[in-house]
Amino acid sequence: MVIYAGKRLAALIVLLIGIAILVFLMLQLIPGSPVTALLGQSATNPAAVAKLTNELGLNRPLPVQFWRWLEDAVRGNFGYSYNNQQPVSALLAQNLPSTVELAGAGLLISLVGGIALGVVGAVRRNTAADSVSMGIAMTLVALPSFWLGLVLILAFAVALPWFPVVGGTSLRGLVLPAFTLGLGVLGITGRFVRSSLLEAMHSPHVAAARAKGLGRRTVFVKHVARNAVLPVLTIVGLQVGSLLSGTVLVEVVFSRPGIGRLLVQSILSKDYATVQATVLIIAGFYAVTNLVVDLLYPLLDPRVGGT
Amino acid sequence: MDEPLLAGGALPLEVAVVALPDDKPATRRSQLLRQKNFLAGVVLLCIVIIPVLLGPVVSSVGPDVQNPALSFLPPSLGHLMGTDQYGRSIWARVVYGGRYTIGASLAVVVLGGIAGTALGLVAGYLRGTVGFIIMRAVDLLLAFPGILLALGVTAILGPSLVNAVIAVAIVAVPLYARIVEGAAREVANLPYVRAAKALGSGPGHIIWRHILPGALPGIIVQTTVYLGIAALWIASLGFLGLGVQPPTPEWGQMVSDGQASLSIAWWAVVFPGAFLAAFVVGVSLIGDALRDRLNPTGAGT
Repeated sequence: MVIYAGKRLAALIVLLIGIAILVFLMLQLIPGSPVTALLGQSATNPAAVAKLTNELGLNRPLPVQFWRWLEDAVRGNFGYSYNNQQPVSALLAQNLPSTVELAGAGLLISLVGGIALGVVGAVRRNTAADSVSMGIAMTLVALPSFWLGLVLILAFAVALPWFPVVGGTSLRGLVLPAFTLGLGVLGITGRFVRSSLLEAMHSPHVAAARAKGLGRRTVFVKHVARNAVLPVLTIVGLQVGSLLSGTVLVEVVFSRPGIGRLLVQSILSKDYATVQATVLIIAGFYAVTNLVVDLLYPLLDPRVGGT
Repeated sequence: MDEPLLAGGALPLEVAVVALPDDKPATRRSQLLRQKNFLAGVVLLCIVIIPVLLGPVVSSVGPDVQNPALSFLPPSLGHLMGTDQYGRSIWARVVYGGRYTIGASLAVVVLGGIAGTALGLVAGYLRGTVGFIIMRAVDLLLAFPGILLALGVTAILGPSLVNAVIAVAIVAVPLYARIVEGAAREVANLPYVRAAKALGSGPGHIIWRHILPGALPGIIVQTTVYLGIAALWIASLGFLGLGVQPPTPEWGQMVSDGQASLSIAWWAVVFPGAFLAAFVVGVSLIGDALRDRLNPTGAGT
């Protein structure tokens, strides 16, 4: 277990460094000098240019520049957003909580709904109920989330004025954005839950339990569902990625504060320091979540990690 | 979404509990269901694609013809999908806009598919240092959630339709490379390929004649699956203002256009999005059916 955890952790660190290198190189790939890119409109100010050139160590070799940038990033210093007139870390601190709130609510909705759809599909396999639940799952995966969000606004904020059109910070304002985000991811969970339940139903130990004379319900809960938990855990890890990227569109649709909308705004306004920081945070968070899932695995399944 | 594990589809269902683990008969019923899904996908795609292909035949006005006197007309026989704030016909814009959304998605799978396949073939056949470097780069790109990578690339390149296509294609490259590399690795060890090598065939010949055909089913499945995703992302970038720029009628961009007048003209938002959704659902129905057929090992389990 310790060796397993150590290996996973080492792989994560390599991955995080890789992500950091890519995000760092992003700035080098932008046409023009990084200083003009970072300063934006302030690039006409020679004092600011000289100061930033010195801070970034642009006259040093690239690896040295990268190391400096990484050191700063690890300390939480992501540079200064000249467009917003404040440090990028402050922008992140303002926007992160509402994104976490949205992604958490979305995850909850997608899990509850996805497990319900998947169980119906697996237990009533090849019946009309199965076709309907899998049809719903597939359609939800395929719906463009920005459009779904607007349709939900039309239905539940315009036609039936139950919820605010613009998602504020209130709990009521969270409902429509969370459903928009959760429904999009729910379809994947549903299909995945169904196939892992079906796979578990086909294992020899389930046949043995049935042969022993255990009731259907007991077999399902004790022998099928337990074994289906592991694959579902993996998909939750993968879904954190879908949820985080989903927040980008949902936050824009509902004009909700959050790092997704911050990312889009900073791309549009060419605020590259903020772009780098948000991409780094989202990708880093995604990588860490997947590590946590990997580490949970051996706790739930003693076969993993022993080898 | 590229995981074969996500497939619903064909499972040995009737025999459920007592089946042997490697017993995989596709029951008549699940086969029928698969065919039905496939047909439903084809029908949906036809509904979307035929008007888009016919363009001027089904729409008497162009997508950019403005008429202030006709602004915000609700759907009627004269204006099938109503009009927007400039009095432009939504039907005309949806029909012409499909060319951008669908055309761009096709460009994405062609570009990303060719680049990813080439890298995967090289990595899977040659292995060694080159293969190792390619596959580690693939792993790194896969560590980013797809749309985030696409957003990062558009941040570098700037917003435009061509750049959106490049960005979404770059996201596709590692997906293709991973699938093709696996297939190539497997095929490269088969006796007939070793025989061809022993007979003196060059690597180019072997890759083209033996490895590529072996990887083809995976490539086809990946293409149908990714085509829908590509359409979603091209439209998402358009919606965010990072893809097609107005007044070009791309479906995602149209939804964004209509958002401002959502409460008075629902039709400007609902119809372009519905066409996009129908296209994506149609493509995924076909993709699922193909996956079950061409890739039986990955299906359902």
